[in-house]
Order: sequence, then C-alpha cells, then structure tokens
Amino acid sequence: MEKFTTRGFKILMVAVVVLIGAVIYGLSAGSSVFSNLFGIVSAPLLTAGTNMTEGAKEFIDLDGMSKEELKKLYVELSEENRKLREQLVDYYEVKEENASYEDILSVKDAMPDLQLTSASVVGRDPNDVFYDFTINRGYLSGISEGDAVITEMGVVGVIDEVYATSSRVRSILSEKTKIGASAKECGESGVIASDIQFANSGKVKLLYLTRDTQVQAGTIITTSGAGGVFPSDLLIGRVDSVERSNADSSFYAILTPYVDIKTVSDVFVVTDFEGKGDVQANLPEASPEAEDPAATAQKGNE
Amino acid sequence: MADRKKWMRYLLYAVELLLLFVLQETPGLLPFIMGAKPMLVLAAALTIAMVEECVPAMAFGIFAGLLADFGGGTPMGYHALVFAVLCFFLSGLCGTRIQIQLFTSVLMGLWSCAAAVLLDWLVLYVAQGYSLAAYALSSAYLPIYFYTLLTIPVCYGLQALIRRFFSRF
Repeated sequence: MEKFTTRGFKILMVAVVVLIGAVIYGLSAGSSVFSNLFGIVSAPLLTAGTNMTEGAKEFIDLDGMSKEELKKLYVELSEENRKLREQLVDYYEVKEENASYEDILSVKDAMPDLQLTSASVVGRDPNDVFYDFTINRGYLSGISEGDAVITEMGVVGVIDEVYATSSRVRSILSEKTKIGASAKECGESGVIASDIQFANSGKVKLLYLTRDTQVQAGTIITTSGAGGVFPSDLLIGRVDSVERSNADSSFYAILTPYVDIKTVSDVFVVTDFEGKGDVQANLPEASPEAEDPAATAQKGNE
Repeated sequence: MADRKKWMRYLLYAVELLLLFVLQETPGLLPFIMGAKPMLVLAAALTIAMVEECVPAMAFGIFAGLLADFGGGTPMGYHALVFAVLCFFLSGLCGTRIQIQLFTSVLMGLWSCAAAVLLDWLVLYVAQGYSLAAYALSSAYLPIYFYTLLTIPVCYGLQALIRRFFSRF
C-alpha cells in the first residue's frame, strides 16, 4: 500500500502550495474563476434540490393516513387530476407567476423607483452561524456586491459575493451587517446590528439610542436610507424591548425582524434605486451622545 | 481491468460528494439539531480517506473542500486546503497503524472532525473579529461537530459498501 511515501508527500506539498495560492488570490481578487465555475455547476443542482424538497414536503404533509386510505386517495386524485389537467393546462404556473408579480407589484407600488430582481434561496450552509444563504441569481441577472436584499415583508440582508449565476447573501443577523435605521413615529435613528447570541434567537439590535429615547415596545423600525445601500422606509422589524448598553450611556432596542431569516425562501434583490451609493442620502440628525449612525452604517456596509 | 474498477469507484465517490453537498445545502431537507446541520461533505471526505490511498484521499479532500468553500462563501481553497491535509494524514494512519472498521472509523472521526470544526471556528469566526467567540463555539460549532460525527458511521458504511461492490467483480 502506498502510505506516507515520499511521492505522496511531494504531491501533498504541491497541492498545499497551490491551494494557499488560491486562497491568497481569492482574498485579494474577490470571486475567482474557480468560484464562478463551481457556481455554474452547483447552482442548478442546488435549485433542483430545493424544488425536490418542496415537492417532498407537500407529500410528507399527508402523514397520519393509512396505506389503504392513501392508495384510495391517490386513485381518486389521479382521475380528478386527469380531468382538471385538460381544463387547466398551465393554471398553476400562471397563478404562481401571478403571485410573484403581485409581490413585486406590492413592493414596486410602495417604492416605485426600485429596480428589483426576484430570486430563490437555494443554499444554506451548515457552517454559517449567522444564517447567510445562497440565491439563484448572479451578475448575469444584473446583481452586484452590496445590493440590498428584501422581501415584501421587509429587509433580509445584503449581497456579499456575486458569481455568474448565484450570489451569497449576508443576512441582517450577521455581525458584519450594519444598517442605518429609524423609528418614524418618534423621529429617532440608530444602527441595526447583531451578534451570534441575537442571531441564534433571530433578533437584532437598534444601537445608539439616547437616554431620553421615545422608542418603546411595539415601535416599528424602518431603514433610514443612510449609507446609500438600502432605500429608506423599508420595514425592518418591531421593537420588543429597550435596554441600557453596558459599554456606554446609550440605550439599544431589541427587535424582531419582520422577515424570518432562517426560513425565508423567496427574495428580491434591489439592483438600483434613487440615491443608491449616495452616502449622504437621508443622513439623520447627529446625536451628541451617540456615534454617527450614518458613518457606522456605511462602515458596516463596506 | 483493476484500473477501470478503481476509476469507476472514484467516479462514484465524486458523485456521492456532489449529492451529499446538495443534501447539505438544500434548505429544509436535513433536520436541525440544536440549531445545527451536519457537514456531510466533511464526513464523506474523511471516511473516503479512511478506505483509500493517501493521494486519492487528498484529491477527494480537495474536491469536498472546494464544494464546502463554495457553499459557505469562504475564500476558495480554504476548506480544500484543510480537508486535503486532514484526509492525507488520516489515510496514512488508517491501514498502517489502525485497522479501520466501524468503531475505529468513529474514533478517527472524533479527532479529524474536531480538527476541521475547531479550525473553522478559529479561522472563520475568531480571526474574523466576531464577538462572543466562546459562546459561538459552544452554541454553534460544537453542535455542528457532534451532528457531523453522527453521520460518520453512515458515511463509512457507504464507502465500505462502494469498495466491497467493486472488489466483487
């Protein structure tokens, strides 16, 4: 048996050097040819896997029925299905498409200047502790790094890496994601942030609130537009409670995002909007007691 | 003939890794245990290394690592490097110093899997400057480790089956 031979070690050393080179190249050049190649191969596989799972989930919902009952149900439904198929050739496809357009329309109605691209979540890595995920759209669909990711319910995250036909989304639960946010009803602003403890419970923090903050449980938090990554007035979440920071005299609010990041399956990528990239857009009033939220948001978004 | 069987076996390993990668990444397919999902490609690469020679073991480690890099959004090559070195040494140990079987495969999995997960924690969490590193280790990385460890006997059984299947003909 060929074990621990000189030839084997030589091959290992060559492989190690090549891989270290690949890592360094990847770190300096961003998404590489390898990443794109893997993306092109694996994105359709992941999409197929996701579609199969959806089908299997519907099937598993039939639990609790005996084999005979299921068989009888199957025969009946097959017959019914045959008849219906004749009438409703592509009804479901059209309906699904229609629902998707309705979702886009609802967001577009609220934000007419948004350029949206719809995408599906096709990959969730077990090693990712902040619930980042992969979507089935890449730069061929006009997506670029730093684009905001939303649903009709609210903010989801930011595009972190873009390949040809897929992209990685850094979720709002990630410690690296910082979003300029405001509480419209009391005119206060801050920065949305998180850490692993908050991510585990599916919550985020609104930092840099002042001592006399009017933010309270139930307050709705939206994006402020500061930093030029997210359009303003997108829903983020609802405040659960307000706590005092241990580090300084400021306060922070704990909020539950409207979108369940751990289970979200369909998203929109905001490829363009009025004021995108404009760091000065919608800058909130600077608070004497807190760090400038716009600067922190921009820093985080970078 | 022996060469053809060997290459057929390698092809099957590659397909297995690809399928396990899809299984691992597809949302909602694998149940969460304590908020964690197993790293199936790691378990598969390690168990392939237990039954194969050093160089092919390293090659499958690289392939599995590249898949893990793509899925996890880590710099392309990081997991490939870790898995390649781990698989090379694991393969060297198994067969020369340790007679590999179901029980010893779990024993080998204990340390090799721990090495991979601990490195992930160090490089992908601690070195990135994230806060609450100890909490992350206990609440996120340890459940991933134990869950992955649970899949080692299953993956080992699969590799042993593939080897036995090809040795029959």
